[in-house]
Amino acid sequence: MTWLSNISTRAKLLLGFSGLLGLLLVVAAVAALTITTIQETQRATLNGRFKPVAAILQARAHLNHIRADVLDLALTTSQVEWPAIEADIRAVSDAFVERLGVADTLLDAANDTTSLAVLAEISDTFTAYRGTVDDEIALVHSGKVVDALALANGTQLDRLDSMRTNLELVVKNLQDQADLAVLAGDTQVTTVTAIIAVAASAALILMLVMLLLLNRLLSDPLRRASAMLGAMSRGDLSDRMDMHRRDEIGMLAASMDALADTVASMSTEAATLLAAAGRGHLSIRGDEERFDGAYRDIVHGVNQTLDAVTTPLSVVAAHLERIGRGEIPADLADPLPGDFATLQANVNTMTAVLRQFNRDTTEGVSVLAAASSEILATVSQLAGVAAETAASVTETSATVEEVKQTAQLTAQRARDVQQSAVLTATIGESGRIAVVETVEGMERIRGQMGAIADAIVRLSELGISIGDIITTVNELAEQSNMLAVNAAIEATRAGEFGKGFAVVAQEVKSLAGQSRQATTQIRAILADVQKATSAAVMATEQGTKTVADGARQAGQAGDAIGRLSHAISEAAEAATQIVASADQQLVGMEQIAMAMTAIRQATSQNVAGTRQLEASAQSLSTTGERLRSVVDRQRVEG
Amino acid sequence: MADIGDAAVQRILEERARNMARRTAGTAGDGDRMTVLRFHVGESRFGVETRHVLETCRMDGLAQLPMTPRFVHGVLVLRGRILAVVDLAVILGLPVPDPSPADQVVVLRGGHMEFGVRANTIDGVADVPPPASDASMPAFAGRMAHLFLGISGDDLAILDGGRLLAADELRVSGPSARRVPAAPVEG
Repeated sequence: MTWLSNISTRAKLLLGFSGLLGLLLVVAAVAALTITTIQETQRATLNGRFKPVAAILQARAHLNHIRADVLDLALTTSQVEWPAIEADIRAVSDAFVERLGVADTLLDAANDTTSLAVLAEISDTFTAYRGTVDDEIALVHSGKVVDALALANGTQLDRLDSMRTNLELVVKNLQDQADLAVLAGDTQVTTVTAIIAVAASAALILMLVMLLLLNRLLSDPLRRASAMLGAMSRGDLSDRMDMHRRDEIGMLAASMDALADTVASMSTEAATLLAAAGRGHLSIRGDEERFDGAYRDIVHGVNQTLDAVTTPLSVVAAHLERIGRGEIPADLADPLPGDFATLQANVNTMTAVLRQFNRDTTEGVSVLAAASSEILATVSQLAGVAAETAASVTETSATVEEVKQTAQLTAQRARDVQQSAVLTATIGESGRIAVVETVEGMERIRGQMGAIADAIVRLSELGISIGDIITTVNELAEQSNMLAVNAAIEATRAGEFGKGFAVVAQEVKSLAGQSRQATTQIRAILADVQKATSAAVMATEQGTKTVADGARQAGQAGDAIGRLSHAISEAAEAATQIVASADQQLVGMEQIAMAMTAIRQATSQNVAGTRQLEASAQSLSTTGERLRSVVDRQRVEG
Repeated sequence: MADIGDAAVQRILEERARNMARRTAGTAGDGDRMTVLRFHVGESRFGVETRHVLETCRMDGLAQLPMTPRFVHGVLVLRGRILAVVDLAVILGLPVPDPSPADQVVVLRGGHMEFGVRANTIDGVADVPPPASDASMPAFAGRMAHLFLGISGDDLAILDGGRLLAADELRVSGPSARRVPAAPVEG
């Protein structure tokens, strides 16, 4: 199969289709040849068999016709008809000869010697037969009909049978040959059909083989190439075709492997550069010689990019190194490209700040020197002040002695206060007892007020009962009034006899009216009573509340007096404590006097300390001067 | 009342006797006085001769009747009889007082008629001078003037009891009313 892989794809396709075409041509040639052969066989059969048979059969018919005419001539009495019959005999005999000639020509062409020999024998016999027929015609003309008939049924009949037999023999022979030809044609057709079937099967197999080969030689490599390109597009560069063929597929595979190698080495180179850059090694460069064309441009571009980064950085590094050595260099004048301009600006700003810092330090040192001088002067003054302080301390000691006298007086006063407080506490206790009694009295009053309120409520209920009674009485008066009216009406009905009754009725009516008035008055009085009762209830409630308030206030007063008594007791205790404190104060004052003596001694020591301070200030001043000289030594550019 | 005393009882009795004697003297030979029952309907005062009055009673158990004229105040049962009560204020077009528990009924009777008249208060029976023949009718009488005899004394409108009992205006019957014939009831 290696040779197949090495020929070109076009050649592979041409080879496959040529094979198919050749098979098709073979099949077509065999078919055409066979068809031609069959055609010729048919034509030979027609010309060499069927046409001679037709001529022979016609000739045989002519023979019978001639014998019939001879018999007719012999048997016809009318001599008038003889010439016509004789002419017919001659015409038919010619036709027989002509048919026989046709058959002979055809058979000759067919190269059928057997049949030709028989035909030659028939031809000879007919020549004899024809001569005898002329004899018979002459016998008939001479009137010897019987002789003619005897001739016809004798010699002539034998000859006729011989000719008939021979003619049938030829026909039989020709028919057999035609059957043989048909059989041969069938055999040929079968053979050709088999050949075509074999060729078609071969073509089909060849096609399948081609299909398999094409799939293996073309599709598989292309699928692999597609998979490899997909993997490359996903970043997997490890896959290779590894296909050693000399056709187009092999070339494509080799190109793709080369591409993958190039891309992989590009990737490795880039990874190396990036790893170095990540570790801060910006000096490493990519190997441009390893790549060609666009890849070399990419590596070159990366190297240039690294150069563009490292160059400004080295400029800045040199600048910073100078600053590290204690110099303050001039600003970076040459403009750095791109984003490094910001770095340059920041470095320049830093330098300017350093420059300013240096200036400020110089000024500060100057100020420090001046300040140390001033401190020196101040410390001298301080020494003077310390001496003054010593004098003040002496005066303070005298004052403390006076305060001690005052404290003794205070202690005496505190004792007086303590005695007064004890007396006050006793009075407070008796006041608290009085208030407790007041509260109890108030409670009793409140109980009595409750009893009064209950009585008044009962009174009010009684008033309501009286109201009901008054209503009943009023009702009775109304009824009486009506009865009086009706009685008066009855009285008038009685006329003169009822006059007295009318007067009584009038009196009853008058009494009813008086009753009504009296009830009205009672109702008014009752209303007043109810009002007064309500007022009394309210007053009682008010009184109860007031008593409660009084009791509560008395309680509060009791509490206040109790608290006051307590406070006074505490005041008496406090006064006792004050007396003790005043005594302690007196002791304290004496201690203060002793302390003042100690202070006086300390002040003297203070004066001595001030002198030492003065010496220290002198030393500070000297240090300031030295610092100034150090700052002045620093070099400043720009 | 219990302790009036015998002297006081004696004095009252004597006073009554004097009153009786004076009234008898006053009525002697009188043809010019009539005995009337006086009553109030709203602010108006009315009198009707006691001979037309059967009795007075309280307005207890009044039942209002549907489908009756407005002047029919209602009906009430008086000792087993059904009594129609009319309101004079409605008939005369006076301001109709609101119903009150103190309302009373003046029961009138004459011929076959018997009905009650609503009274706010009944003042009692009194002898009054009869109105003069040319006496003016009360101002509120209007087209009902034929029901009055006239005005007696101080604005007491004397009703003509007979005509009142026979008045067709108060009869509720027939097709004109198209209502249940409830009052007055023929007695």
